[in-house]
Amino acid sequence: MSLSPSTSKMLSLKSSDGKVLEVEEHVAVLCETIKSLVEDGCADSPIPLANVDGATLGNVMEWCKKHADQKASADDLEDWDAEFVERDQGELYHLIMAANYLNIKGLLDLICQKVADMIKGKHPEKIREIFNIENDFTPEQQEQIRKDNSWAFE
Amino acid sequence: MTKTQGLGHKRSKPYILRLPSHVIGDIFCKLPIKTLIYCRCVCKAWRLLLLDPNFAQLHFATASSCVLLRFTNPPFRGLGLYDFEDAESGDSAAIVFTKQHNIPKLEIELSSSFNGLLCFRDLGCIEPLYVSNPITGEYMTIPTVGKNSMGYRFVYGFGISPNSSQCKVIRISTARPYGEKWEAMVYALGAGAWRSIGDVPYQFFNQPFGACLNGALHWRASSFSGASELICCFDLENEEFRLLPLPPCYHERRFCSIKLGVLGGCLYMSGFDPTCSYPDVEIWVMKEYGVEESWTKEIFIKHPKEKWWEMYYLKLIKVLKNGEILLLCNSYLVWYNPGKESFRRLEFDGVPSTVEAISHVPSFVSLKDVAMGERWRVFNARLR
Repeated sequence: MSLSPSTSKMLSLKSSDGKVLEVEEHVAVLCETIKSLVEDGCADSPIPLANVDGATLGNVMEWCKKHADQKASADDLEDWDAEFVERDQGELYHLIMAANYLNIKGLLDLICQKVADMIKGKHPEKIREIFNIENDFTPEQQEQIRKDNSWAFE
Repeated sequence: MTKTQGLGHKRSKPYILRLPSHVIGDIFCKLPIKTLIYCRCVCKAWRLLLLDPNFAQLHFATASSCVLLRFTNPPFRGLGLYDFEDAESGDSAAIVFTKQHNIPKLEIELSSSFNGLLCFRDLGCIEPLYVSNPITGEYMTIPTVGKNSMGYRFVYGFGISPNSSQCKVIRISTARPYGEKWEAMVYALGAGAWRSIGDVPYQFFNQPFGACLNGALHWRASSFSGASELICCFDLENEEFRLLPLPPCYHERRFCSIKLGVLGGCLYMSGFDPTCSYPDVEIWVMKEYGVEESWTKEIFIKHPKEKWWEMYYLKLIKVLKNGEILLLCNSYLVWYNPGKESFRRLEFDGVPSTVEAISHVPSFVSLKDVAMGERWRVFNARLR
């Protein structure tokens, strides 16, 4: 089966909130999940994607379209990706979940790296603040943990 | 991100805590070890995840190596883990290990690092050896061979057998002054005693711990006649010795070897042409394990014509992502830029520091998993 742009046909993707998106097949198959459906010949009717909302699906397909573009250089993609991940945590969360569900390794890696960069080098208090995580240790546990890990805080 | 959900005042679960554990595991694997220790202090869920042995395995499989330095001249003392790949941290230590939390001794010889575990011994002593993971704070002492361990020369190795996952220390020694008979002994963690595996039909140079690769340890050796140099290989699984092919420079001209080691998952041999007055150091890499034709001259270190340069005490630490090569030369840590043929030594306030260095992958791998029931100790056992 040829997946080259010239012969690419259109696929219909249906999001969890009922929105239908028409996407070129060579773009959509960057999602391993969709690729398997295409290969099994199960991609004729609109493909229901029960775990991805319309807005997120749009963002995901925007990323796939850019990365399916054979003319894009590595530098170009890097810059484009850096801008693509400039989003709030809600959007990043939905993108990670979608990339995980649709099995798009490149996108999942990209967002995971973005989240890792947000955590990197930060102290526990700062990490809790950034991600709105509750400190659920008791004061005694907190004291002990801090003492045992003090060597990493010097 | 909203802090409240609907009309209630109960906090909604933060996005990051809603991620599936394999995804948060992937995110954690992209973080430096120090930040991971911070993450351990954030909340109960992260603490549990980061203490999970499955995470330790996943992390080790993707972790990149750091450099463990022991400073040998005042005013600096002690052991520090450095990540020279990280431009932000520059030349400052990622983690300084302490005797209270990480490792029972600081005045040690960094003998070998494998699988996130460190093998070391007291400065100036041959035995006992210690196996430790300074990140988890676990360590154990390998018993000495015993009274009949008197010998003239020793070589050691430390590694893990690939199939049975047994952690083994091997000692090859000669009790005779001219080294005409060498005996090999193995200590498998959990066994409680050393056992002899018989004589070895080669003789050995004084050298650091054997290079561990492909489930085997490797040393420079020679035939009993002393006529030919050899690469002796010890299979950690079936405990048999065999030979590996030498790089072609040995057959083509005079070549004086310095070290055998592991670089980027391949065996390497460093050496130089002794007929030159200012010889460059050649680093030959065996690209395909065991294949003679795959030996390739990969790195070339120009002789710097500086007083501190001492080829016989040259050890390759690692190749950095930017192409620079980190070397230990005569107790100086040196960055060599092969393109510019330039050298830079590690220094503080303009004074070069003297160090001992070893490439080490900091990991959460527990000694408990390799100790096979043998007694091991840990700092702060309650909360690890």
